[in-house]
Amino acid sequence: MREVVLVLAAFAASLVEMVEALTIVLAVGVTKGWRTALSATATALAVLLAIIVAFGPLISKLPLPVLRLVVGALLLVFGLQWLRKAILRASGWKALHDEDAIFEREVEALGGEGTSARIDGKGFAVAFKGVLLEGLEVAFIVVTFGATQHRVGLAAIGAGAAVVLVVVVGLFVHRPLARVPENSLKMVVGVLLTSFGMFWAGEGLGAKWPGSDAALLGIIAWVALVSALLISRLRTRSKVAA
Amino acid sequence: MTSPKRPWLLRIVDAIVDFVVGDDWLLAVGVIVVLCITALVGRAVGSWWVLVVGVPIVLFVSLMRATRSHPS
Repeated sequence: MREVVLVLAAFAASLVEMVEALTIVLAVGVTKGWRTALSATATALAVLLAIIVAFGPLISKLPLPVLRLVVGALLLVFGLQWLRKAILRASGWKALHDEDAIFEREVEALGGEGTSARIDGKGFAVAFKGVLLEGLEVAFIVVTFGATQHRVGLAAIGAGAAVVLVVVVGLFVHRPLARVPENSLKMVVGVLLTSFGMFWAGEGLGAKWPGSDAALLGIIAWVALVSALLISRLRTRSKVAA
Repeated sequence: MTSPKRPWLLRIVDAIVDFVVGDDWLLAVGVIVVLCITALVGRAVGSWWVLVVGVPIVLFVSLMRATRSHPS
């Protein structure tokens, strides 16, 4: 069961971040040429791969209780950040992510349309930074999720599948993927990261979860329920404030 | 936000802190507090419930702060 959730979490987190990265890469491709956009993407992906390869085995060597406490705490902070953002968006307190609007903004910032066969320095920097920063969270999730269960490869497969999916769809549509239910995915990933974080941090501190591994399902259900209740409450407040 | 005048090492530290802490520092501090309480309680009785109760409270407080400081 843990393996399935591991792959799903890595896949969903990667999908959300790669859709955001694709928007930036498309904007650079359209304005500064595809050579610039694709070479920057390839360089950023190589750096991310190097981070996973370097830190994955290193983290796996830590004693399991220490690893679970540290990774659990970090996943908790990350998961709560994702949940917070997704809840604020779902309840109307924060604008939903609009890939079309971001795409137009990036195109404008890069100085309008007009492609070139040569690599453009500014375009390269924008695309490289976009892919690297969006990908760093994915790399972190893959390394920590994978290392805690000694399954970095499995987590990497989940993340890699999402990258391939986004790249293939991006090649065909050549437009920002505005129809991906990004906030819902962000909510699911937030619930999973927070739940795994609670479970592992608890185990790292020596807590005995009732039902052992099965407690994870209960924690996921609890975090999802709390999130739904918070959305409902904030929606009411949002309407009152409007 | 990082200033371009800061030394590169400090800028890297800034970026790492920004990456881990994110939009609301209260979440990171809240998680540390909940984990410390879990560790302290765990010495006496079962402690899993501290996480189950404490983590939603941290999220709730952070959301209340966000909606108070950014009324739409």
